[in-house]
Amino acid sequence: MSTIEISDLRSFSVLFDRIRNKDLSYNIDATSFPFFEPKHILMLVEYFVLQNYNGRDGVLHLHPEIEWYFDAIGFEQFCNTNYISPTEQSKSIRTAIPIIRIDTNTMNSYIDSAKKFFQRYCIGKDTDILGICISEIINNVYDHSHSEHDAYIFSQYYTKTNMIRFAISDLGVGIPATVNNYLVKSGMEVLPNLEALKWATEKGKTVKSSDRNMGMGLDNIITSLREIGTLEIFSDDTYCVLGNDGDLRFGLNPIRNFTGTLIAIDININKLDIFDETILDDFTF
Amino acid sequence: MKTVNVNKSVNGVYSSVDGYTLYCILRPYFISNQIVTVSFKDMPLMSSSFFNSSFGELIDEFGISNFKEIIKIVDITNSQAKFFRRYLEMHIQ
Repeated sequence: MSTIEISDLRSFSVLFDRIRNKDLSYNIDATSFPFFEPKHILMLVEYFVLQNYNGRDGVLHLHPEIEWYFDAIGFEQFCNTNYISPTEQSKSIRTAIPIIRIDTNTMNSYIDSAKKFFQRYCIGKDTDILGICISEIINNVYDHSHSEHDAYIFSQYYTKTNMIRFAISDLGVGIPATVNNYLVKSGMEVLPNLEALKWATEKGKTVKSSDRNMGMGLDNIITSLREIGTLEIFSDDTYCVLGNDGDLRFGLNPIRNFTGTLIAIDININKLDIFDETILDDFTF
Repeated sequence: MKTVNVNKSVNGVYSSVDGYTLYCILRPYFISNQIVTVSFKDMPLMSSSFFNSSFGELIDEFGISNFKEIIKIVDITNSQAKFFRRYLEMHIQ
């Protein structure tokens, strides 16, 4: 069996090329990859889940110093058991919630357990923003993506930077295609992919996959994260990033052949609001 | 006046399915033109999907003026109020 080498972000292009062409008979050599973030791990998950789904075998080669980490987060267990339907993981690690296949049915319990899990690192802080970000993304996956494999989520706490980092990914049609399908059906002109992504992030813009969609989801995440975190969206050949300066920037996806959508979020715990239970005396609309 | 505690009435405040459940609970009050108190006690921040499927549907069906007359919100924190007003403003734009 041949091997694909993954050594940096751009080298995932080869992985996604194989996913697109359904050519899944490769081992992956990630022994020289410098540092795995949740987004990198989910991209590997997608490859190996699809490989299992298509009845192929492959091995992930890792640097010996991080093999324990992939074992602790249940990487192999997840890929071997979740390619048909969600299966609970038996692995656990103190600073991360193992990889989960998530849908709108499991979203509530995941958010509750994620908030409880990270509360120990967010003493006195308001962690409701986690629920907003996760739920808005999962609802978008289910409303728009047509993903056949649900979505995957992986969350990790980083002690040195006091940060929660999580990523959610799906292998659906991608945001630009969803936007342009809607525009065509509505008798409007197709947008270039990057303009379509920008369109999707604007408040009030919705493809109305259901009557209840009002175009608030992505804008809600972006608005909520400004000043407390960062966001990256990888979708088809497009990319956008919300930086620490609060600006949203758009560009070409550094990963060619990318399939579906991956959203990676960092939340700086130092910048979270203090948990305030004070009830307003009088609420007016 | 009746009180509906959102957190006790639905499984969560993130999905449109749960939002629809709340819509079904509150709708009879609009039909009978009866004021209802809606308590946000112990409730986490709701997603926009939940808002759209619950309060948003009521606004679409009965109008914003009627909505403000029938629904009285209590036990709401600053943070919840900020998000609720944001969703409301977006919905009626």
